Amino acid sequence: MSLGGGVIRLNVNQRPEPHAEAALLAGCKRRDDAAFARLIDLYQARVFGFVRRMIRDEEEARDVTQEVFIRAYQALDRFDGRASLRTWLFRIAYNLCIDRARRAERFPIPHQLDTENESDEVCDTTLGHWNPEQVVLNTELRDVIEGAIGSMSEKLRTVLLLHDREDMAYEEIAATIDVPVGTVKSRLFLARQALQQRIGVYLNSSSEEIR
Amino acid sequence: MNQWNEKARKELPMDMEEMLALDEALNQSESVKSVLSSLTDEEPSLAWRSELNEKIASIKPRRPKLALWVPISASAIAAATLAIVLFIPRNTERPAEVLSQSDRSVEALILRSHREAEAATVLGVASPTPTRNTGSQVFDWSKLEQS
Repeated sequence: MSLGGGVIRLNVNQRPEPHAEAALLAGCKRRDDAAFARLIDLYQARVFGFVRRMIRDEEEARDVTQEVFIRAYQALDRFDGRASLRTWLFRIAYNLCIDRARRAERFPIPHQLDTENESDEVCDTTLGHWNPEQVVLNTELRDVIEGAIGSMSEKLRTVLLLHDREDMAYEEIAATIDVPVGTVKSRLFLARQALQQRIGVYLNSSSEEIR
Repeated sequence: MNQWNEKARKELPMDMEEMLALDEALNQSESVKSVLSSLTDEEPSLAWRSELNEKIASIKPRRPKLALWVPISASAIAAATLAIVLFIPRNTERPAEVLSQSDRSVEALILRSHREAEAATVLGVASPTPTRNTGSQVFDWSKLEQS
């Protein structure tokens, strides 16, 4: 069996064409090694990115990402194709992260959604005292964002990553994490609020340093 | 705003108006999405990929032994049958007919000759005996009517 690494990767918000995905799925279901290799090529970076942000231990994240593709390989016959391949893979990834967290208690235990620290101070999102379009994502700011994501509760972080990073629809997220759509929206709002606060604090402090 | 915000925090059900306010707030915070999209994803290493390939190869469903032996033994049997059919000498000549005394009579020989000729015709190895042209003219019936 040769599952050679290809060169095609999907960027964020980039999806394979529906007919291409259908062909890929058909190949995978036939146990075509080349098709499954392509599936891994397409999604390995994104799945790893998601898992790495859910599980902060890099080494463990690598293992879990491998486990995602192994589980997918084993469960291909049971995949009915109602959801997209991407949604299905992220559902597996999410479930594995949750299982791992419950086993190892690596995630912070969520209490009242951990929102006391995240949104005590209500941030007025309408004003937008920082313009993300103009912000150059330097390494420092990237660390701030990654840190903010990492400090969120698992519930908020999941919704934020699946919606804003992986571009999944509310309904898809609701089905993945098994909560109502309204809850997904509430969590997304709180997560964004927390992130905006952290970025706002960083930008304010760096502008004071410049002065 | 505070009321729906509080409900959002406690994950309580919202009425229509509160849901609309939440949707509006989400629309206004869409810029966060572009920030998150600009984060880069690290590619797993080739060693990682190679390890994954090995793991997948190890769980790949294997054919049961019986399923392997059935086509092998079927092929062997078919080959043996073919060899027997092709290489074992067969006596294709017809056994010489032993003619009894009574078969040597003239009538029997004529009858036998006729049967062989008939069989040869049926098999297509001999054409039926052509009708001889006797040279006699065909009778013209029109002349008969005229007379």
